[in-house]
Amino acid sequence: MIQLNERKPILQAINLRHEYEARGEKIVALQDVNLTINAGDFVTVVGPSGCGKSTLAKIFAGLGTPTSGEALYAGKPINGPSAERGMVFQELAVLPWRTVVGNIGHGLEIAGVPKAEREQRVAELVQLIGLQGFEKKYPSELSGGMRQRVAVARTWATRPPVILMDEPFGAVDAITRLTLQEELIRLARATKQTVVFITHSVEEAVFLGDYIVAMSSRPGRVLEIVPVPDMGINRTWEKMIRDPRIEAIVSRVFELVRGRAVDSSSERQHA
Amino acid sequence: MHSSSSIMHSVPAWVVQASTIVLLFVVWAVIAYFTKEPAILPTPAATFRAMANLIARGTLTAAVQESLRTLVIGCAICIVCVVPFALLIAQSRQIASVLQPMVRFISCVPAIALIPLFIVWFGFSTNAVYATLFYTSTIPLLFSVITGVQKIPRVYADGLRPLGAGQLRIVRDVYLPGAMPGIEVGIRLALSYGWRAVIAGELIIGSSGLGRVLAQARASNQVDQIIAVMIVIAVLFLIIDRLILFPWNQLVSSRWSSF
Repeated sequence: MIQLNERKPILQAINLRHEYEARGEKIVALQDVNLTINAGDFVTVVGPSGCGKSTLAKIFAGLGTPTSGEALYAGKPINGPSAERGMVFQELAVLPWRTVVGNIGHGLEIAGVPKAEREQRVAELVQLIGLQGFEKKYPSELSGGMRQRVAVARTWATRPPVILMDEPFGAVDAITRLTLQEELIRLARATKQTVVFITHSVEEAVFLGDYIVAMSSRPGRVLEIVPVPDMGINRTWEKMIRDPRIEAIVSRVFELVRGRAVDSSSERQHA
Repeated sequence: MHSSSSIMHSVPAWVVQASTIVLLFVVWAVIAYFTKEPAILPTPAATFRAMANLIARGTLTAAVQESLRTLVIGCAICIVCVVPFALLIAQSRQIASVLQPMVRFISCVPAIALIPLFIVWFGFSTNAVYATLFYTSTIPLLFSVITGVQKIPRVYADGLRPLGAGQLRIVRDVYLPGAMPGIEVGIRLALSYGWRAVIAGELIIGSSGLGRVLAQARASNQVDQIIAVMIVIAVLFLIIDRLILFPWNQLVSSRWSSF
């Protein structure tokens, strides 16, 4: 953690508030959210459904605007999406009419990277995510896990300083998810990018994060930031579930997320 | 019951389709044979003789060329004008929601009811047939493309913005290819409705083409010729649909299938 604090802040949320209207009712998705994420961090944001964690990711991506407060990237206010902050979505956002390589290379194409260099970088990523032999396939010919790998690789290809991931493995089966999580850890460690990973799974949050941002249910607030001890190369699912320290963190985060969830539902009448 | 359905499954679909057409001809032949009224219902053999006659005289081939030319040129103009327009409108939900009820109201008037108006405006000419075709084909094409664009998941465009894509890029890489299934359905409808409009227009306006041959055959009470031309009209469209539109549809729907 000391080492982390020496790094430069790359993403900041200052008194962030976001509200929207649904069926004539005003809903506060985020309230008083203050958060600083340093360059190179792998942060997981966990909270119950409707705690505004996806909204937070969208605001950082520039796809959403806060009602009040500020979101900063490298000290400057975020207005609009930018290639500096990539995003992987929960829904399948890869384009069905592009092949695996067509999708992975899309960001590079937009950035105007020359064809030869593009092909080389895409080939490296295909190798890294284990999709050799599927280069010319269309998304409809792939399994759910493979498609999500393509989505991850597409975002990684342009090497954005920040990668936001909004429940990217929500739609894949539990076993594939484990594989994808381990691959993601490898990828993030290899490229040293800043990753903000949104999830509603406490286990996933603890397994992936350098630290965990635990959020309350509506209105979404940051409850606590829980650090995870550095596991080094022992960051595998098998090692982690047997570690008593990790076990303690999982129960702590569960307590936070569930305890507040009960509180805030009884508080709703006051709001 | 079960065994008969399993037999149906083991037979290729085209055999089933072909045998229904054969059955139709058999029923027709039997009725024609027993009624013995060639002036009302000629036999299939007489009809095909009439068809051969029309071909030998060159009437039929010329008429087929004229009708198809009208259909192809008319639909091409229609597609070139309507598709970009529809893509543009679909960008804004507001414009689409204002325009749709308006166009729907106009489209309540069948094209055939507008032919008198087109004759007054354009005379008894091919231009009046073109007007009928445009009127008929524009509306299904417009709606199909708009629906096609609106069906594109929002996340496709959202997914490209953090990759640095601007609006132009998104139109080119998301809306245009994403609207392909809608464009495909629209063109299919435009051609099939258009074909009917061309025949109906030619029939009433009497300018040229298969419709005029029909009108002439009716004037001289040659039912065998009328039915012969009907068969030609149906077969021509089947060929267009099966050989061109259907394979295209298969390609689009396999690739564009949302998972």
